[in-house]
Amino acid sequence: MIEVRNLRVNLGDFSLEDINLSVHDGEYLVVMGPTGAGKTLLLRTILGFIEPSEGKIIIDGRDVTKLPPEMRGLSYVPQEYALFPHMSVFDNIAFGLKLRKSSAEVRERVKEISEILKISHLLGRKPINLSGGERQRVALARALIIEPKAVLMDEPLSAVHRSLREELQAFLKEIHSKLGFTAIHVTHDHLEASYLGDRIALISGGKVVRIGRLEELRDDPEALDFMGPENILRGKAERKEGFTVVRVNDIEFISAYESEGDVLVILRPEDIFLHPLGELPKISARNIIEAQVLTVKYRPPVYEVLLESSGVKLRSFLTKQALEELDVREGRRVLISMKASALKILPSVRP
Amino acid sequence: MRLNIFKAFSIFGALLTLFLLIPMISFIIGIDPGDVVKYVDDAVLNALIIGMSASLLSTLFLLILGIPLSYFLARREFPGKEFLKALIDLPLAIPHGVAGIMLLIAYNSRAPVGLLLSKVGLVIEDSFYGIVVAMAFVSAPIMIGSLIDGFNSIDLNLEYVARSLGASEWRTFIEVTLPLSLRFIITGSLLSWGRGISEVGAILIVAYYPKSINVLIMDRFWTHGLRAASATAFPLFLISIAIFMMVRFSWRGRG
Repeated sequence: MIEVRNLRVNLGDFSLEDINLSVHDGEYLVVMGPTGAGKTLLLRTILGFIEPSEGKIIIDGRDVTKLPPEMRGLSYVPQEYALFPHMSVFDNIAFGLKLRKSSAEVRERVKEISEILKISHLLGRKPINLSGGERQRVALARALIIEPKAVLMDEPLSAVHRSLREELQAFLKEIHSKLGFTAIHVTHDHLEASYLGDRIALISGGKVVRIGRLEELRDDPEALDFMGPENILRGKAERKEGFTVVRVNDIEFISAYESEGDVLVILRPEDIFLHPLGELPKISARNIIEAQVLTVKYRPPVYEVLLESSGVKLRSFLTKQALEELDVREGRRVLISMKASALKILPSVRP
Repeated sequence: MRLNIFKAFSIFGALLTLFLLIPMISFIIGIDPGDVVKYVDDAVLNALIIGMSASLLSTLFLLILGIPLSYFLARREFPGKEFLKALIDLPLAIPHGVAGIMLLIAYNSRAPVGLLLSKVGLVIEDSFYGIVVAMAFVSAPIMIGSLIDGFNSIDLNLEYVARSLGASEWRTFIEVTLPLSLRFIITGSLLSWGRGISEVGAILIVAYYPKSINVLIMDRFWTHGLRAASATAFPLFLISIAIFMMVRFSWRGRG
């Protein structure tokens, strides 16, 4: 377990203030915030490259605040991966282990981790000849082979193209659930954070604003600036009759995006339409669900209507006119509809 | 007719290229093989050995002390850092004769530092070591500049990753930093070696004897004239070009 207690770091005119975090064994913590929030500084301080002016960093009960980086047992995956360009993929992966083990054991372990990460065929190459996805795998192999107390990743997916990013996110999630390592992952992308994070720490202006599970943050008005107004739900997807059915609690959402397994459903508030209860709306939407209105708030220029169905909370936007026509009030039951194409799924193949 | 910028610039470019090439070509064409046989005697070979080994030693000296200094300057921030860097560059701006005078005043065997050095046999006045010292002084800014560029060109994350994986600062330096700046180390050494072998002004003042090749060429020019000087310079010219090309081409495309 990694604990950061009352950490304060001063660097020129920027500072991290009173940071408190803990990451449990096997947990995937995502630190999310805008550019300049202090995410990289926090990561480098935990790694031991920057000395805090106050506070403690504790790993498995041991105070490591004064220890140099090489004694902390944390491995680092920076942006663009920083693979050693003068070494082969094998030597990159073996780098940390060579300092600790015999060469026979190093060969055995590199072979093992390369098979798990499906990079056995790349071992003889130089990093310059690898694709973005291959680089990520090699960087992960290099970080994981030393069996670190945690892997600290700084925007590990920001350098790759959007279309590849979802695939790499899915890969990270798969490897994490297979190997169960402890991770701290820094990003500015709220969807990436939602998809990967067991918990998410929101950081802004050098302070941790909120920390919690996706479901907790979604209902927190403080988190709205970070997470955006979109509805982000976790669910299980399977393919049925040309569509993807995503189960979230007891609701089955139908999406036109192609996917399977653990996914996020992303639904914009303006894509949720409200109808009076009783009569089936004459529309082609694939998803029609009964829901209860929890709250109605004026968020200029629209009204934000918070709805609930089977424990799933959804946010919708209505104009004043629509609000009055439908007579939407707190406590009322309504029908809501959503098109299959409006339900985006991460990760997925585009429709 | 419209003259686009690259056409115009290629004319200027060609002029400058010719300006550089013509002397080298005329030099080679003007060499009389008979003169080479006549003037390249034992004195020239001796002076060549002295000049080459002195510039090699000066380059080694600059590497050994320059790598730590440059790494420090590339990685650490401290007050007065820019001033210190400017001071290190100063020998580029000092006329070489003046540099020789300064070295002689500072390190002659009666001056405080020179006295200490002379106790371990390092006397600079009219000695091989004097040649090395003069060469090192004028080449230092070139070597240090090249090394700092090299260390600055390395992504700091590479060093961070190595450290996080368990490598000490020393190990990281040897296994990551040094190999990745090798190109700059080689270039710096080559330029500093070339700068050393071409130095005359400072050497004339500090150590006229033993005669290094560059001093001997000047000597022959004064005493025997242009033809003798050309013939004397010819072996040095060939060796310099050969070494320069070898290093340059063996490192091309490895970046």
